[in-house]
Amino acid sequence: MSLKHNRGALVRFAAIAAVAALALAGCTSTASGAGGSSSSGPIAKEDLVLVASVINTTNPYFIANIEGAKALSKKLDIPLEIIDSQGSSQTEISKIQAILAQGKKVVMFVNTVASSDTPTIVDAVKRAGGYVSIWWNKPDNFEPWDAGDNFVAFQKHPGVDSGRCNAQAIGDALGGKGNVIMFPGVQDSTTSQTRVAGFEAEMRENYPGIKILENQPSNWDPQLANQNAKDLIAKYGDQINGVWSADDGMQLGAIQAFDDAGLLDKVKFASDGLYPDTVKLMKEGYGNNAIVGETFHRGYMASAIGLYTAYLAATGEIVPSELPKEKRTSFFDIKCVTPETLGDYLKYDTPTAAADFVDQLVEKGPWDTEPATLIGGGGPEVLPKP
Amino acid sequence: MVHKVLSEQGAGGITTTAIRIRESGIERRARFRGLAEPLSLLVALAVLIGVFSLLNERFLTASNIQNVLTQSAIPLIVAVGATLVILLGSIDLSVEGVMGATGMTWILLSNNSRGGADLGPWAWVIALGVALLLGVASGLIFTALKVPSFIVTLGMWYVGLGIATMLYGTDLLPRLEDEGLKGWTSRISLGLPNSFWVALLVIGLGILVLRNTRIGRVTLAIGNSETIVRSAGLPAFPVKVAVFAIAAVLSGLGGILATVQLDIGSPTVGSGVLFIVIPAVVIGGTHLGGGKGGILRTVLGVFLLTILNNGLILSGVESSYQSAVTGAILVAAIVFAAWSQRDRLRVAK
Amino acid sequence: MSDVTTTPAVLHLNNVSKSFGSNRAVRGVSLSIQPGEVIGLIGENGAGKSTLLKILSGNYRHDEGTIAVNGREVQFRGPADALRAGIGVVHQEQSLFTNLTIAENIEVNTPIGRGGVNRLGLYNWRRLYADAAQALDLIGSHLNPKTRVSDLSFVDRQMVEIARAIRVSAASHTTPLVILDEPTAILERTETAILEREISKLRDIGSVIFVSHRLDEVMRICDRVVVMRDGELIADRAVDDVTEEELFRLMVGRETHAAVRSRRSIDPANSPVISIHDLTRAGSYADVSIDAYPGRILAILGTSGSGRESVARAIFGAEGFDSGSVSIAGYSGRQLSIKKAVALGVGYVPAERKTEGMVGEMPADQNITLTHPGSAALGPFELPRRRLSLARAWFEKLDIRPREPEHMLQDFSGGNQQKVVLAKWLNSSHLKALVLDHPLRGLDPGAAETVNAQIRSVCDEGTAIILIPDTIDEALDIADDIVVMRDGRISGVFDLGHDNPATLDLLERML
Repeated sequence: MSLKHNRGALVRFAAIAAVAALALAGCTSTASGAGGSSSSGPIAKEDLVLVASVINTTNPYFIANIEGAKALSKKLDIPLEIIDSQGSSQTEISKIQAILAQGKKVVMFVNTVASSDTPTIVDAVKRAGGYVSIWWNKPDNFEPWDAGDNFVAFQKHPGVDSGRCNAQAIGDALGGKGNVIMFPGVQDSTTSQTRVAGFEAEMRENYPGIKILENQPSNWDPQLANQNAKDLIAKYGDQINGVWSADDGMQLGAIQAFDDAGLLDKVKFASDGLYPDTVKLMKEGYGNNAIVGETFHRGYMASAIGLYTAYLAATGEIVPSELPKEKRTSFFDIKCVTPETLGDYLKYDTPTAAADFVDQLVEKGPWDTEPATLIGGGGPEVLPKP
Repeated sequence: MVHKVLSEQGAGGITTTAIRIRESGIERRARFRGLAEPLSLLVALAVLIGVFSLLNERFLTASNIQNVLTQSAIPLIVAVGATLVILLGSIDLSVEGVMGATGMTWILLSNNSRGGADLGPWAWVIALGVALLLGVASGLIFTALKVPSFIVTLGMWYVGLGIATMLYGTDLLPRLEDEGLKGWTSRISLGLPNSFWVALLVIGLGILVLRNTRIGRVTLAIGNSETIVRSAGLPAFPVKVAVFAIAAVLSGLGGILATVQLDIGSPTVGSGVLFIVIPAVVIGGTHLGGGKGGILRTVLGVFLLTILNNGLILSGVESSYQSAVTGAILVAAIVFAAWSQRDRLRVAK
Repeated sequence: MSDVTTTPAVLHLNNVSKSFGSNRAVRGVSLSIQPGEVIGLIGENGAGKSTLLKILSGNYRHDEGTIAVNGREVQFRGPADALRAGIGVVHQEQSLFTNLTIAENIEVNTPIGRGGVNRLGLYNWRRLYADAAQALDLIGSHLNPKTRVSDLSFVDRQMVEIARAIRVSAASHTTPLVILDEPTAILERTETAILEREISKLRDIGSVIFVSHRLDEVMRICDRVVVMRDGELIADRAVDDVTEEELFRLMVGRETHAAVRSRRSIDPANSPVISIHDLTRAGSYADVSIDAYPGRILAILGTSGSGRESVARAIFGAEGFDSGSVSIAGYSGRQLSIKKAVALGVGYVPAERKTEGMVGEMPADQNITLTHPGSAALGPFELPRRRLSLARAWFEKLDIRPREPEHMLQDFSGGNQQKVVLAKWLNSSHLKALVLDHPLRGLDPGAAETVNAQIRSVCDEGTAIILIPDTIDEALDIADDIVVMRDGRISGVFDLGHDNPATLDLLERML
C-alpha cells in the first residue's frame, strides 16, 4: 500500500521537476537572448567590476597577479573580485560563471588553468556583455579577432625568449662545455613547451659543447622537482653541471636537492620568474653563485596590463576590432637577469612597485610601459626549428 | 536410542583422533597462508629491483639506495597512520591538508625568513597539536555524528589546506633559516638518512601499537566486526577517535619533515602524498574493508611505489611514457601479489 | 521446582517481563538454575527465547521482575556487565573476531590489568596464550591459541566461544553460566558429538542453558527442559519424565510429524535428470557417480570432510572438477558454469542462505524474480505490479508469513526466508532439478516441517531433488535414495524403495 503511494508521489515529483527544468531552460534562453546584444557601446565606469582569475593563491607569481589587480582597482576606483581556481579548470569556469550571473559588467583578467578553458570563458563573458583579457594559455587557432570584441586580447611573455635567455646564462657560466638537466613544468603546457623549445634551440645553435642529459617534467611542483632532482643526482652523480627549471618554484626544489647532495658549489642554475626568494639567493651568492641567470617579469604587471586593456575596451577608449593584430595577440618583453644586472631590477620589488607601475601604465597605455613593453605578436609564438 | 549408544561409544574414539588430526591441519594451513601473501609481494619487489639494476648499474649504489630511502621516509610515516585507519575499515583522505597545516604552522613558528617568533621545540609541539586537533575533529565527527570517514576526512583535507593558506597569507615564501635543520632530513647518520631513521622509529612504534596494545587490537576487532566489538563491551568509540588522532599526528610529522626537506613552507607541501600512501596500503594487502593487513606490508607497498618511480627515471624511460608504464607495472604487481588471496566466489567490488 | 538447597542458585529469574511497544515478548518468566545443571530451553521461533537470552546477556533490559546471579540481584547496563557477572553467551550468529587469534578472542572480556593486558593497555602475549590454553584445556580442546579464528571450522569456533564464556567467570571467580544458543544448528553429526562431550564437561565447572531445535539432542544432553511458547514459560520438566513427542506438542501446540513418505523403487523406464560419472576433484572427492531421477529425492550423507558439499556445488557449476562428467538433462560438458546449469533447469539453495542465497536488503518479491522473472518480465523490463502479484501467489502457495512480499527479505524469519529462496527457483518454467544444501539449517521444527512439505510437493511434481541434509533422521524422513560419502568416496548407496538401512548402517559408512 505504502509502496504504491510512494511511487505515485515519485511520478508527480518527476513531472514537477521536468516542468521546472523546462521553465528554467526557457528563462536562461531568454536571458541570453537579451544579453545577445553583446558588445554594445561603452559602459559607464560605475557599472563595471574588475575580476582577476588566478590558478592558485599560494604561488608568488599569482600573489603578484592579485597585487597588480588591487593596485589598478585602487587607481581606477573600481571594485575588484578575485577568483581562485584552486588549480582546477572546473572550479575556474564555475566561479567565473557565478560572477557573470550576478549581472555586473565585468572587466576580466584570466590566467587560464588550461588552454582549452579559453573558448568557454570567452563565450561566457561575451554572452554577459563583459570584456576579457587572457594571459599565458589559449589554443593556437582561437584568436581574439575571430571571437569578437569581448575577447579583447591574449597576452603573454614569449617563452622562447625566456628559454634562450636562460640557456645563454648557463652556457656562458659553464664556458660552453658540460652536461645539463631540465625540469619542464606540466608537460602539455604551452608556456613550458615554448620555454623548453627556446632553451634547447639556443643550446643547439650556440653552445654545441653542452649536452642535455635528460628532462623530467615536474608539474610546476617544488616537491616533485626536489624528488626528481634527487633521482637524477643518483643517476648521473657529478656529471651534472647545469640545471634548468621552467620556473623558480621548481628551481628552489632542485637547488635543495643539490644542496643536500653537497653538489651545489659545482652546479649552475637558471630559471624563469626571478621570485623574491631567488633574488635573495642570487644577492647573497648562495652556493658559490649557483644561480647564474633568470628572466624577469612580474605578475602584477601581467594582471595590470591585462585588466587595463580590457578596461579600455569596456569604456570605449579602444575598439579591439580596429587594433592591429599584435595588440590582440601580444608578446611582452622579458628581461634577462644575471647576478651583475640584478641591482637594476630590485626597484620592481619595493612595497610601492605595483602602484608605481600602474601609475605609469595608465599614463602610457598598456603597450608602452617599461619594463614590460610590447615586442611582437599577431599570431601564435613561432617555435625554433628543431 | 541408537544415537545415544553411538555418540557415547562408537564415535568417541574416532572423533578424538579426528579432532587432533584436524587441529594440527589447521595450524599447518594457517602458517602457510601467513607466509604466502607477503612473500609474493617480496618477490614482486625483488623482480623490480633486479630489472632496474640490470638497466642501470647506478641503481644499486649506496647513494641511490640512500636517495630512495629519503624519498620513501615521508610516505612511510604517513602510511603507518593510514594503515591503522584502513584497518578500522575507514579511510583518511585528509593527509595532504593536515601536512600543509602542520608544516606551515611549524615553519612560521621556527626560525624562518619571514622573521616572527622562533619557538624552537615548542614549534614542534604546537604544530603537532594542530594536527592532533584536526585528527580528533575528524574522529569525533566520524564517530559521534556517524558521518562516513570518506566525507569527513575529505572535508578535513580542505580545512587543513585552508588553515595552511590562511597562515601563508600573501607574504613571501617562508624559508627555513635554522642551519642545523636545513637539509637535516637527507643527511646520513649511521649509513641511513635521518628522515628514514624517523620513519623506522614510527614504523616500530606503529607495529608495537598494532600488535601489543589494546588500541591496536581493538582496531583490528572493529575492522572485523564493529557489532561484535560493541556487544562485547569493548571501547569502540575512543579507539576510533584515537586512531584518527594518531593518523593525523603522523601526517603532521610528515608535513614538518617535508617542509624541512624542501626548506620552504608551502600549503601544498603534501601534494601527491595521498596517492602514494593509499595505493601503498592497498598494494601491501591491507583490506579496504578493514580487519586484515598490517604495517610491514604497507612498508613493502611504499617501497614498491618509490622504487618504481626512482627506477623508471634511472633506467631512462621517456618521461611521457612514465605514467603509463608506472600504471601498467603497478597493476601487474598487484595482480601478482594478490594472487594468493583471491576469494572462492571471486567477488570483487 | 522444589529446590530447598543451601547453595544459592546460579541464576534465579523471578517474574521477568519485557515488552516492545504492545508486543509482550517475554511474560512473567520465573526460572532457577542450580550449579552443575544443564537446562534445555526450547520453543518455536518467536516464542520469546531470543528476547530472554538477550536480557540475560545484557543486550536488553527487562521491564519487570528481578534477576539474581549467585544469590545477588543484578541490573545489567550492557553486555559487559553480564559477562562480569559470569554469564557467557555463545551466540547463534557467531561473535568471534575472525581476524584475531584464538587467545585474544578468549581473553577479550578479561578486565584490563587482570589477564594478559596490563593497565596501560599493553599486551603480554605469553600470559595471554597461557591463560587461553588453560581455558581451552578445561573443555578438552588442544587448539593452538596462536591460531587465527578464520582458520577454524565451525565446531572449533564453538569451542573458542565456550572457552571465552568460561574464562570471563574464571577471571571474576564466579560459577559460570554458559548459554549455548543453538550451537548445533550448523554442525555436522560428528561435530555435534564432539560438542556434546564438551557440554557434559562443562557440568563440572558451572551451569549450562542449552537452546536447541533438535529435541533428541536436548533429551540426550540436558537434565531439565523448559519450554517457551508465546513469551511464557509453559513447562519445566526433568528429561526422565517427558518424551520427545510430548515436548514437540508442548512447543508447537499441535500433534507431531506428518506421515512418513511412501516410497517406490526406481522405475527402470525413467532416465536420470542429473547423472554424474566418476567425478573427481583432487583433494576433495574422487570417482563419484550419482544418478538423480525425476520425482525422487536423493540425499547425500557424510561428515564435513566427506566432500559432499563440493559435489553438490559441482553439479550446480559453482565449483570446478578435475575429471569425470556431469550431464544434466542430456547435456554433458566439460565446462559447466552456474549460468549453464541455471539455463538447463537446475536450482541451488545454498547452505549460506544469508550470503549466497538471498539479497536481504531487497524486498522479498524482487528476490523471487531475481533469477527467473517469469511472468513479471516484459522484455528486458520488470513490471512491479505483475511482480508483486506473482510474489503474492507464491506467498500463498508456500504459506510464507507475513503475507507482505514488499518487505525486505532480511526482516522475515529463517523459515520464511528459506521458502522465498525456494520460490526463487520454483518460479522457473523449466525447473528440472533442485540442489538443496542444508535447507533446514537454523530452522525450528515447525518451520522445518513446512519447508519439508514443500520440498516433497515440488518433488512429486516431477523435479529431481539432490539434498544435503543436516541429520541422518532428515534423510530417512524425506529421501527416496540415500548416497553415503566418506573421505571423498561413495561408501554406500540405498534405494529406500527396497532397502531399509538402519541409522547405524548409515553412520558406520560415514565414519
